[in-house]
Amino acid sequence: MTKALAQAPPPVYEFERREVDPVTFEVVRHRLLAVTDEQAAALSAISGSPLVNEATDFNTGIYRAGGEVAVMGQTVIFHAASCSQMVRQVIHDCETDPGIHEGDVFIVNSPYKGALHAPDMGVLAPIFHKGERIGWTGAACHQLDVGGMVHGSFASKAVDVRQEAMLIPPLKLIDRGVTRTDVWNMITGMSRLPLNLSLDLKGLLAANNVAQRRLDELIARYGVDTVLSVMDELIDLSERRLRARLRELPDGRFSARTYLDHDGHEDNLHRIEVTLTKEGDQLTFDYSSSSPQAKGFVNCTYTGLLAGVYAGVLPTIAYDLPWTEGIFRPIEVIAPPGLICSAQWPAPVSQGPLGAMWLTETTAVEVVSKLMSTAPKLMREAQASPSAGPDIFNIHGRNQYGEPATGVMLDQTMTGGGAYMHRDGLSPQGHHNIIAGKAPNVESLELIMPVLYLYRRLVSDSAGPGRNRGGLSSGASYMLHDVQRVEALCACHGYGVPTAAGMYGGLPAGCNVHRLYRETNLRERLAAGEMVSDPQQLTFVEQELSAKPPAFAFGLDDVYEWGPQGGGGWGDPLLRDPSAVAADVRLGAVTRHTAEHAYGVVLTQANELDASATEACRALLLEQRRGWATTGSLADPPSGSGTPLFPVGDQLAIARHAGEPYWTCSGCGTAFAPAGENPKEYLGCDVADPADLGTRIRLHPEIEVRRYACTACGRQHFVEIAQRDAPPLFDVRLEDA
Amino acid sequence: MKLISTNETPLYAGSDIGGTFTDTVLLTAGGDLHVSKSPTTKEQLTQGALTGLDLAAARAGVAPDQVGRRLAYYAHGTTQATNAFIERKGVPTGLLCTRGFRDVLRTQRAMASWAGLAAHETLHFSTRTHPDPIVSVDRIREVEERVDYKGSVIVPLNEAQLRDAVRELFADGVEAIAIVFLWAFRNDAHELRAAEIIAEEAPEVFVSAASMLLPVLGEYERTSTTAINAYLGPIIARYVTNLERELRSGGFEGGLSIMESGGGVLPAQDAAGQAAAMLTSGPAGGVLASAALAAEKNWPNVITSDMGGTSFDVGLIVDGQPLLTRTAEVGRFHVALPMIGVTAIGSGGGSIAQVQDGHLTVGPESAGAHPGPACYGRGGSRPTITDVDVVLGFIDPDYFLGGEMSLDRDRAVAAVEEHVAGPLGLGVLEAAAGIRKVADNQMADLLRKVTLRAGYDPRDFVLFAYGGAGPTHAHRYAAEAGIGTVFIPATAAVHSAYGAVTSDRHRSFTVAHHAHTPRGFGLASEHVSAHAMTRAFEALEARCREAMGGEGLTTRRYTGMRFRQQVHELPIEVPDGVLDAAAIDQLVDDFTERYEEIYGRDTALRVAGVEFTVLRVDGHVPVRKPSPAVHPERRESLVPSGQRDVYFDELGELTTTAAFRADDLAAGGSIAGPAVLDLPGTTLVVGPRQHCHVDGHGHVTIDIGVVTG
Repeated sequence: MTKALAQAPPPVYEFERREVDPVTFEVVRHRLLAVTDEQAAALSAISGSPLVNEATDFNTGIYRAGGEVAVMGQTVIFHAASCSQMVRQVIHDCETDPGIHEGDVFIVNSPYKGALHAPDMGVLAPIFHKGERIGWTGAACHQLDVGGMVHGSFASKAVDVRQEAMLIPPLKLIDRGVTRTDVWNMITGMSRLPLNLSLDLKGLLAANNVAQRRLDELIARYGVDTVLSVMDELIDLSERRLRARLRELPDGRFSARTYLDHDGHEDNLHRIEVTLTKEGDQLTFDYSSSSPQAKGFVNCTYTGLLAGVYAGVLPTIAYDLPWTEGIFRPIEVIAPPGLICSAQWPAPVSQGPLGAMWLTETTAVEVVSKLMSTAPKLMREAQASPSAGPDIFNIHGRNQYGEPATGVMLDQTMTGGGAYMHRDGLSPQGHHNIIAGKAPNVESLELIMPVLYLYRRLVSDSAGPGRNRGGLSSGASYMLHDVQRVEALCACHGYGVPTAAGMYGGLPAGCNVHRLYRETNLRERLAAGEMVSDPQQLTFVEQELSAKPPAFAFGLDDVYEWGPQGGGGWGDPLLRDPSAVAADVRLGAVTRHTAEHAYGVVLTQANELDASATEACRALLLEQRRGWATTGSLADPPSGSGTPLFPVGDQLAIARHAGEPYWTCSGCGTAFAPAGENPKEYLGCDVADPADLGTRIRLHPEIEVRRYACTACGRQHFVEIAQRDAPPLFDVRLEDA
Repeated sequence: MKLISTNETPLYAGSDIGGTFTDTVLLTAGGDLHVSKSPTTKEQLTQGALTGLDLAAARAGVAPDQVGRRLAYYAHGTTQATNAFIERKGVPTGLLCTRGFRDVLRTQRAMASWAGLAAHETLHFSTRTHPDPIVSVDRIREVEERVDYKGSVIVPLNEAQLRDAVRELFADGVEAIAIVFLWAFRNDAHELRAAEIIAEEAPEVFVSAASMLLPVLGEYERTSTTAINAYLGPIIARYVTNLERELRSGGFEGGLSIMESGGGVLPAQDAAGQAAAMLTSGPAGGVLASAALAAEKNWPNVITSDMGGTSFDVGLIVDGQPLLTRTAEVGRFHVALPMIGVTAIGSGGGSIAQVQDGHLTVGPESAGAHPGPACYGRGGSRPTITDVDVVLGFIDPDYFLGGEMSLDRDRAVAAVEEHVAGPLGLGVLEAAAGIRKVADNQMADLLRKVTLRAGYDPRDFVLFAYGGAGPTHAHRYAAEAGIGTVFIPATAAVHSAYGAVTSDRHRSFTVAHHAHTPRGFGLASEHVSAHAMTRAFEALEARCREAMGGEGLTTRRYTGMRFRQQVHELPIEVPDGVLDAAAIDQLVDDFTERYEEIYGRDTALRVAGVEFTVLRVDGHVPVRKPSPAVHPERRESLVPSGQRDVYFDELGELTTTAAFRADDLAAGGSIAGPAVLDLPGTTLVVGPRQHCHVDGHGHVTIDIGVVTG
């Protein structure tokens, strides 16, 4: 084809927005949602993969001509932002050359072109009507392997994204209806599991095809302008409803800060910090104060950051709104390039979705929760942090049938939820970004992996104490069974830093824990007829593991044990009903140690509540708190109860005293700080002994946990995890206060 | 020819004892059917059943004192198990599990916070909860024992410790104990020994052991199912004893059966041991009744749709067999017994329409039976689907449920006016038609979803419509889903009861099986033992014969197969008798072919290897019942006894529409739409340009004509 004959790219259809009657709107809206269901069914059916079918690690959607989300599925919601970004990248990179034509299908997995990390492969197809582009369909799912230096494509030793996996920029996989077999073979040929990848690709294509067919039918029935008008109205509707909700909330700035430990190379700390500015009906998430990008694979790109923020927003403040681009329109996300959450080429990012991106989500949940906690109407939607960072445990070697095998133990999806003002966190809830995930049965895993579980059960003290306790996570322990040796790999953050933060005086959840016991006497004990389910009852030599240790050999006398962090607590733990704490101890949710140290609840030898000892213990703890040192104090503290202006959670309020707004403790009514200043400067502060926070708190040498309490009544209002030299975070700043 | 006195011919009856009404169907020896609907009497359960029988018998011209004596067979479905489960009124139950795995039931494989919730509830994290427990945590006892994936004993059962645990539970007042040990489906010795020890320690305690109830892989689903079974077993045992006593005292000497969810009826005395299988027997009854009728009509593929007051339930019949699920969500737990698959959405006569900032939605919120639709006049003020049907003229407010209940059209109009027409600036009729259209389309979307998910095209199916509201709406939801033929059985309003009396005994026996080929295998038979499989099937067949009796028993074998590393498991039929290598290889070919039929060409991942996961034997014992009476086919146009104005959205205005009563249809014949058929339990609607045919039984077939889906 000569240059002269080259055609201009087909135009984008400029449709006429029309008023759609409410009945047609609702019928078409429901059908569009059914189409995303049908996409999911087509993908699940063909893929057959457990990652797609059980962990629901995929998403599907329909997008407007520019990539705006019109409808999306409700599976792993990280992918929603990703597909939309991929469409934008396809348009940006391919519109002019090689062009976007009817019948084309594009594939993308480059994390710098819209994917979250290389295993998340997306397939996008333009929708055409009478020769003009009217929108896109898309689907993405997590592939078992996309090549690179490590099986499964989580490359802990990588320092460059080009080592991690194959990288596909927007690439035409199907050209005007004709599959490019050469391209297909090249892509599948770069995976260690080409057949599985082929099936997943077929599934993604089927998901697109079914959406294209259904849209054609809808357009034939209702007309193209009506269908597109419904999509745009749906987007506008979400936007209007979110903006209306935002207008009901006070303006202000809300901050959250957390630290990611270990980048795969060394045990260093990386700050992820966000300030949410809420002004009128607009939200701005500013991550500029986060650390520079890391050397290792924990980074996420700006797309990952968007995915994290959107995942933090959708099921919290937008739980009842249609999930469309309209939710994202009032949201601005700021992060200059080169940060750990806006990594620049060629920073490695393969663990990013479980690393930096995960923490952008949980910090987004935290600031949105702080915002919602300033209005009575939405306070019940505010939550402490859910479990904030999964561990992985993969084994590689030969299975009990003598076949080469690599497996992912999916126990880590059974994690605790954050506590709310009205209830404890759920034990387990499952990850917050997987709307409805499942974990495999123990028997399903023992059938295909050469391991024998010692236990799978909810882990004591994995949740954060609080007036409402966080949700517990389920942990597990394994020995090797019917093989001599495998290689094992684990990797997490939240190991030397508690990352599932509590809210308003609630404590953080315990840290992720993974332990390796060598030279145990387990086999002898089993042979003697004892079912030992607690590794601590064995003799062993423990091998210290870092958060992300190098792969290690796992042999016949070894035992591995891991327990994920649970959800954070809500409110001062000393306000928890002592009999509820005693019940938690009897259930094994809380240890006696934590009952006493974190909750001030003393139990008898039979784990019954000792009411008088508890009263004395709590009185002593309160007395100690009242003696904690403050940085500042009011020269002339106002007296009286004041006029409440805003609640800040259910333990603090901004109230007006003699014309001036003050931070006020709801426990005793004391006005203790000017509303415009950081209340932490005026509260008593104590650097906690980690043992007082629970039995699973482990602190990196540079990290401390600070507790802040009212010096008048001793009520605990904030618990903050910070680098030793970091100033106290100013959590909530209200504009009118 | 010998004349048989009608007084002497046997009667066959089925009933469905629901929460509000007890439906009864009586079949005469000549194959005619008579139906009745009577209020359920919650205090004296059998009273409602007996009243229903008498009513139906009266319609057949049989005196009440004759019914018990002449009744040869009585089968019924009951919500007894479901109610006790939902209201958590089962017995105090203990659970014995393997040490280290106490939380299996509490955590539900991470599904505890969302299983059984609707999509909009799942998204609302702050309102999520865990279900109320079936077994409270302090009644779960870990037992020292361990078996591995091969069935090898790693740690023997510690009988002394088990005995202590049983004593503790007994002292705590448990009336039932569930036993679920890891891998006991591979080696049931520990579970069986535990059952023996319980029998020694506490003989009156009801015991359910997973290895006997469902010997399949998956400790969560086994635990959930077995715990529910133990929790409900004693309740069902008491219920059956009472029912039987009362029936027998009325002179009844025939067979007594109870519907279960897996595709048939159980002899009443077996019901307690299978209590968990009764949980979805109501919807299953409707699908079974449809399967029986579909067989008579020679329709192999049927979508069933049951639209009642609060929900719209969809099931599938493929090649004459109801599709079974291996695991069903029941309440907020899972039951892993083979059950007839029914998918429901909250769309029924009680679904509420509302307008929020200019946008109309219908459901999932429902007015239920209380306060019910506005037109019931029981305090409901928000417009429901039933209200809309009254406003538009589809339902005659003076002849609802055959005139048993009169409806207030003014209230319905006011509700639509205030909550929808006003806010949207529409006329009342236009608004009502809009609500109806939205609801009909939602139901059509579900029909498509259910069929497509199972790998079929709804356009290849006949739609059965029943339930109080199904026949009123099927003319539209079928058309929207692209379905050309709708069948409304004469038993539409009492369809589950019809299912009870027409169902055969049917029971599935499963056992986990583990055999697989390596990757990249040549012939499966080189890796999979035909001998072991034959022996396992023979053992299952022996169990089946023991449980069901040999008389009239036929069995079919199936095996569950999948590609390794994949999750889609399919049941593949296995030949009878001794299997040989060729049979194994044929199974792999059959599986591959079936897989690609469902999931598409080139989706089979044969190179990953194939595994056999479960073996199943379905036993079938026919229950004696009369053949349907044969009525001459008539094509004459039927003549309506009335007419009324009905607003069909397709016509856009009130249209004078023929209104038929049951008596007008007695002879059978044809009707050209638009028409409304006011039947005792439902109103059947034939749309404009549609035609229907009524046969001598009163079954109605609508030819939808132009379909739109």
